[in-house]
Amino acid sequence: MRFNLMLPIFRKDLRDAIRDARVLVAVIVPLGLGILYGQIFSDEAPTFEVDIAYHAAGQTQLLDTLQTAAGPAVKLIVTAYDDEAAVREQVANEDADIGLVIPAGFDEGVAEGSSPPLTVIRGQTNSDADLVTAILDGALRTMAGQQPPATIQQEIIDEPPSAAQAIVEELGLRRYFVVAVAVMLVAMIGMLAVPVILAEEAEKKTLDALVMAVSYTDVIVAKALVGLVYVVISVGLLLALTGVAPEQPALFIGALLTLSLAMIGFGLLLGGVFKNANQLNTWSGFILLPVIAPAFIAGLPMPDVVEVLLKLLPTSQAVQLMINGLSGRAYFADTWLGFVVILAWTALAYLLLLRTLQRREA
Amino acid sequence: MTASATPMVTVEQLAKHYGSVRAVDGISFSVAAGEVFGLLGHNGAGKTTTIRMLTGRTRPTAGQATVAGYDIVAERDKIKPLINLVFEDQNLYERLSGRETLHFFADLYQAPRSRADDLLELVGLTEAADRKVKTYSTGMKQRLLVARALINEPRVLFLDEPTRGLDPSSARDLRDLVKNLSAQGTTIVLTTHYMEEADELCDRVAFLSQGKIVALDTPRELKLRYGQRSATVLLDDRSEHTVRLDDPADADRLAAWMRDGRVLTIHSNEGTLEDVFIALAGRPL
Repeated sequence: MRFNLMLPIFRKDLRDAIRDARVLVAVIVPLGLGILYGQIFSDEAPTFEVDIAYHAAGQTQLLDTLQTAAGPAVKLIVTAYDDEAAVREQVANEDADIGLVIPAGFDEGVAEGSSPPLTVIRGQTNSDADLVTAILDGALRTMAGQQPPATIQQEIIDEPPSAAQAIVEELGLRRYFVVAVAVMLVAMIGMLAVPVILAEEAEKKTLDALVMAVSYTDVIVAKALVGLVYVVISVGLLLALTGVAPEQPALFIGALLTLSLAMIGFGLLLGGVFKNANQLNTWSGFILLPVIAPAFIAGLPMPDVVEVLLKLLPTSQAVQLMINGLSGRAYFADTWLGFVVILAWTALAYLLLLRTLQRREA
Repeated sequence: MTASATPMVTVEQLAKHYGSVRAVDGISFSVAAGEVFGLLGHNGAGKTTTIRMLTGRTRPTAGQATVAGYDIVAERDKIKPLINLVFEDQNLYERLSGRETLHFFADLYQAPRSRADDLLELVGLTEAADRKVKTYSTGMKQRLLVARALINEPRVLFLDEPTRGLDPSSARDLRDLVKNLSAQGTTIVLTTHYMEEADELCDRVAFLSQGKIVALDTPRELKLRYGQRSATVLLDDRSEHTVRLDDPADADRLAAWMRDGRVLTIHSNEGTLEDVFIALAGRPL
């Protein structure tokens, strides 16, 4: 293996491969998907939103008290209107979930205990309106200075939230999907772009011209390096474009690189199996699906058998390590197990590749 | 012939078996430095497999061979910089330009990139050098293949069907190039289906059939050995007669016609390599 002889192949492939539409698609599609997810999903935990239209004849604290009673999981979007008719119209047009008509001196009346009228306008079936109606009574009691009829003591049972809950609530769907797409990028480059490059060399017989000058091993290592550089550039681009930065870069990059080595190893094996780049492209969907899918279901509750299977897969382990690395928190335990699984797959890929190379060199 | 006595390629009992198929079955020959050596035979006769073994791309099942003094198995890496091959297939990077192609292979062989420009000029591709290879004609691609094979100034150049698919003019240019290379001391081993080409270019040829060498000599010797010794005589009455030159009766007939002043033309029917091949293999190429 001679680096000075591999370098020209590496340079040529780095420049030439991206001119191939199949390679370009393998890089662009996940990158575009990552950017799309970055735009669609937010880092905030999902909230429940209710639109309230109201008309108040005077000053009132009712809406603020209502928001306090609803808690952080419910976001009340309140809009004031000049008259009752406008509020009715908003509800009738379903532009608001519920309408409130608050008379003058309402807050004072509530505080004095004179039971001032409060008109609630709502549709026949509207769960958002049901929610507001349910919390309205508590809010009014608070405004009236009444003590609650009972003191509620919440007891949190000793059950930690699932990884999925924790990821969604704390990490945010945006960052979760960026990690999943990064793994998808690695898989697409390693197991589609790299084998396409190799299979095209075999198909067009340019590989024969290369091995006149260098060994087959030199060619393979050069292709692997190209894949690795593509991964580093495209994942870097993905993180930059989505504005996501890992809290523990060493863990994130370590998981990314070990997974890349494994995927590229298997990709190079595939490149040897499929002698025709178009044939490889056709079958890639079947090959990539079981590789990429685990990246998108990390942490979701699964049957035990599936859980065990997922623990054995490099992509599901990598996505868990990368989520830990991105968040700086141990959402998933057994970091060492993750690396062991990925490295075992990497070793398997390169052992098979070495055997293939030895047969080929012979 | 510019060949020296030093063998640049030696082959002894070389064999390649694929299961029960004996693609090459114990062939032996040597090629002197500067010699143009032809391997002729039907498809599947073992020509390309022989070249694959000599260029280190297939390991022999048995036998030994050296190229430029190095063993083709044990010292394969030492041979690589000293040889090159014009492939039968036009295996070029279609998305690269002609110049990029040669620069890439110059880097691969650690040859100066300036050599690429010289070679582009040599094969007449200077004007098309910056065009993508996929826009080249068959002839242009073949010329680029030759330029690529010369990038490392090989001491032994293998040519596998170099003029296949070329128009007569391009084929002529290529043959002239081969002659020039030979004159400059490059050892050339070529395979071809074109007997006239082998006759014109090769100092010696080996006929392969079913993996074995069935004849090996200079084209002239082979033609003399296997060709007919005869001539076609056109007489004043416009009648044509074939006379055998080794038949005393025919010699007397010819002498009589000449004495009587009846002979208009005599054409010698010198055998061709095609005749030799038919005589050896029982069917034409």
